[in-house]
Amino acid sequence: MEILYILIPMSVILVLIIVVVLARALHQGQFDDLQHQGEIIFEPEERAERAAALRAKRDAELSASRNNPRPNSSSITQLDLGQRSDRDVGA
Amino acid sequence: MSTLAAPPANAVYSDKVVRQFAIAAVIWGVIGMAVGVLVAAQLAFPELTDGISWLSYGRLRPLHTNGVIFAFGGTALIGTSYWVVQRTCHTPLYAPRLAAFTFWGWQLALVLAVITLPMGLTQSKEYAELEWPIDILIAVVWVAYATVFFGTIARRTVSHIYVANWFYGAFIIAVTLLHIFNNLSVPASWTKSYSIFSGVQDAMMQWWYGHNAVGFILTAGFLGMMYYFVPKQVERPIWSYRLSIVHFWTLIFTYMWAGPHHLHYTALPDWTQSVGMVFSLVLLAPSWGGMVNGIMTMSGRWHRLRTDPIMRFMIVALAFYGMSTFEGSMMAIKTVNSLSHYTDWTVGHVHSGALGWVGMITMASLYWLVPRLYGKNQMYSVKAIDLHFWLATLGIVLYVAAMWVAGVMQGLMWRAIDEDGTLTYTFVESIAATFPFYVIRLLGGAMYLGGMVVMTWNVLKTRSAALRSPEGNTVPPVVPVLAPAAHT
Repeated sequence: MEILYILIPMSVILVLIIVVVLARALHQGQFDDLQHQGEIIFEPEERAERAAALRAKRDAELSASRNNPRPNSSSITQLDLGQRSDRDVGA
Repeated sequence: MSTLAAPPANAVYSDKVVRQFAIAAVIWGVIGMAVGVLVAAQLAFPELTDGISWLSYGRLRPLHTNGVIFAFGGTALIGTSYWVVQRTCHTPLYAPRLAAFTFWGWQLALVLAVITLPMGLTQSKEYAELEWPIDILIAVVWVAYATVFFGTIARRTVSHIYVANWFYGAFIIAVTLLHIFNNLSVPASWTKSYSIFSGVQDAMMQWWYGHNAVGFILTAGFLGMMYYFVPKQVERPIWSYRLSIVHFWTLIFTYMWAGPHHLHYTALPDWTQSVGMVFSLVLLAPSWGGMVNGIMTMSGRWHRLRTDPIMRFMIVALAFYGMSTFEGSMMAIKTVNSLSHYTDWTVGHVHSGALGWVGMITMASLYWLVPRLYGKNQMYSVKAIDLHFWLATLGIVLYVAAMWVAGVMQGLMWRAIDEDGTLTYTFVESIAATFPFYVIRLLGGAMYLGGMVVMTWNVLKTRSAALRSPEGNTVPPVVPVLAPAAHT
């Protein structure tokens, strides 16, 4: 199975290259701010639009829950909003 | 590490080459799929092109596979990668004239494929049939492509390299290695060469190549496409950016070892087969990371499925991606493979991945990209996108279901043994039994091709409507490179 004398060393070298590239990317801070890096594909106007839409939605929900108070409802709403705002608003 | 200055003043994006690749991809799609429909017809009706040597099945099949993988898929990958790398790095292409060379060089290689394969010039290695002079041309074009792509990344004005670029980058590097090693051959003439490998050694090299082609072109490359165009279309960032990075690294590591699953129960040593099987099963996790991430990115936007056919393409593409990667891992299990190998189940699996995932994510991405390449927000006809979606989806369902049934039937017929220990069926009986499924598959494939024709019409109409625009703005648009927005 002589072909493995080529394929296995090549694959091992590739794994080493993968490890080195990953280590260097890590070291250079490529993965430091994963919360917001998904946002960079959107232009500032798109982000602003989404942030405005989310604020409007949040205001509507808050005023609705203020008018209809339920036990624990505000804390659940707060939790949901917290998660969503992280994802949607970004920078 | 580059110094991150602002983009040069008055810089504009190099979009002409992206336009060229986008239009070419759609046209090659029609060509590659049309050849597919022809060979499907030949399998059902073998005397269809009797006597015409340049239309014989043996010569046309690789024209189909090369046409859809490299001509359609490869062209789409290069074009979209040029768009994504510029936009996410906030810089125009490095060496735009080299990029122009990659377009023309790549098209030349593909045209040479169309000429040489029907002539019967072939190295006989699957997905690597093109003879050695064309291989050299591809290698030169590929080095140029890598230079443009990585040069652009080096010139980026944002420090973070968006995840799609990692996928595209892995695809580019892997293809360089794979292309060179599997095509190593000794030329005997301008039109004939012999592989330096032979026998089971060559088989192993071939399926190291073949499975890495699936993993790094058809998976990693198109995941790169997905990770940009899905969030753009649904206007949500990737659901879990962290997951995208984790599954990227695990995916590229694991894929390399899965190749032996193409050689179960052959002369390949048992332990090598087992390595392939185990890593193919492990591969399920990083693979489904991509599917989950893509699908969950759409959460919060499900209502748009009611009105947005591009999003329909994307969700179905990701569903087929998950399905095919699960199916693939299962088929890599030796006992399962003992039934499926050499049957049409393998063909069904390939086409569920190719038509379902690769085809549909490409179509979705081009439907987003093409209007914007011509300064519009939408294709000429959204209804036509929807028509395409339904033709494609129903076509795939017919195709894959027919091949599943045929494949399992073939596997069972081939292993059926009578009480006296002799085979129950002759081989030709299994062929005869497969006939109706070949006809259904032909119908499914023809529908898929029909969808592609609709797309070509829509793309060309979008382009010509934009070019004839009366507004007087510069069309196609010349887009300035803006400095990246600051993060708070």
